[in-house]
Amino acid sequence: MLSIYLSLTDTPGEKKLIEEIYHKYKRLMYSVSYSILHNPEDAEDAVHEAFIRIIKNISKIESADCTKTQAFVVIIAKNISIDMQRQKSKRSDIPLDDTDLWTEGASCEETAIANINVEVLKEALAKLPNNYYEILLLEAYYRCSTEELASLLGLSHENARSRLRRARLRLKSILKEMDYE
Amino acid sequence: MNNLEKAFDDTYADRILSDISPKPHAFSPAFNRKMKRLLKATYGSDRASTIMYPKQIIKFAIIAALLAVLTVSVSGSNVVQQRNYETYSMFFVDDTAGTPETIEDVFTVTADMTGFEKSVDVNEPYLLITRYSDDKSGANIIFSQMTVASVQGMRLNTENVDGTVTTLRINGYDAICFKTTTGIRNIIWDNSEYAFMLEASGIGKDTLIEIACSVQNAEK
Repeated sequence: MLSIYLSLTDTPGEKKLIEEIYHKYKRLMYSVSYSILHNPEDAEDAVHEAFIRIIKNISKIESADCTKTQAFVVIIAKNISIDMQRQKSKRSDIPLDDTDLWTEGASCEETAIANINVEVLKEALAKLPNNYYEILLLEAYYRCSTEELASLLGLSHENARSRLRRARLRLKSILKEMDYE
Repeated sequence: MNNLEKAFDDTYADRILSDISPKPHAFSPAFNRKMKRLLKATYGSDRASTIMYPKQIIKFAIIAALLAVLTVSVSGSNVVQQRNYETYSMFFVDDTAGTPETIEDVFTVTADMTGFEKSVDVNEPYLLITRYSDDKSGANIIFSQMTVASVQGMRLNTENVDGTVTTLRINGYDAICFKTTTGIRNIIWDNSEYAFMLEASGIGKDTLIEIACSVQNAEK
């Protein structure tokens, strides 16, 4: 029923940032959640939960007023809403993982991938499923650790690591199909 | 920025934000209250504020502390003792299913409070706070009742309380008792529908426990 979170650092700057994010993005986050949950109360619950996770990971956000932060909060709200919808429907009609295709295997050669031509990478990223794109975005662009990914996406540490590994493998596979890698 | 980061930098806005249709929405009062409490819990506890707004902080501390006993009673373990109290603790209710949304059954202290002046500090649908003051002895007791559903993301100043924490039973329910660094003694418990807290100064522990045990449904 209850869970406990220790309050982390709360510098004046972070306090101000949290408030700015709340006032600036709560409606956007609600829109994202509502588009998935189709229920006002559930969408509000999702927004609330999203803010709890954002507060816990506020160190990932540098400024409230930027597209990068906007995308960050949207990803969090979206993932929470999808998770809520899955729990509600008790079905697997909202895909989160392709659990069979990319399980064990060679790890992604991150350095090699990071050095591939930007346009090629963009084309490959466009072919990634959203859940893989988002977790790679959080890792590579927002520099989230596996622990932070787990916290933000509401996954266990093992599931976060597993999804990240599958996302890397999928990207690598796409690049291979494109004759890169 | 490496090439992968550049690729994300060029694509994430379209990928993440392009298909969002902003939807006009008036947030519900319950959401606004919940968020207000969450934000307040996140940044509303500096010591200067405690000095300037003691009543507000007392209410805040009560709400926050209530969560501690809820956690204890549900988890079956003493969360307070498991944590490092060099800083504050923050609590959230994840699931309020089956608990009253408003206070339907009012609980009161039935012990003999002769000599104490009684006043109601807060009377809201989800929170009742009654104060008992004895000007002669300087003793003060604050009794609070609140719904579980109204409790979300609150901060508890648990700095250095770990050495004073004891567990006990109040009317058959698990309770927790501790003394803050400012000398305020607290007893907190819940009956699965409501959470209760007694906060006292100038009162001994045994007396406070007797008062806690006298808390009953006023209508029964």
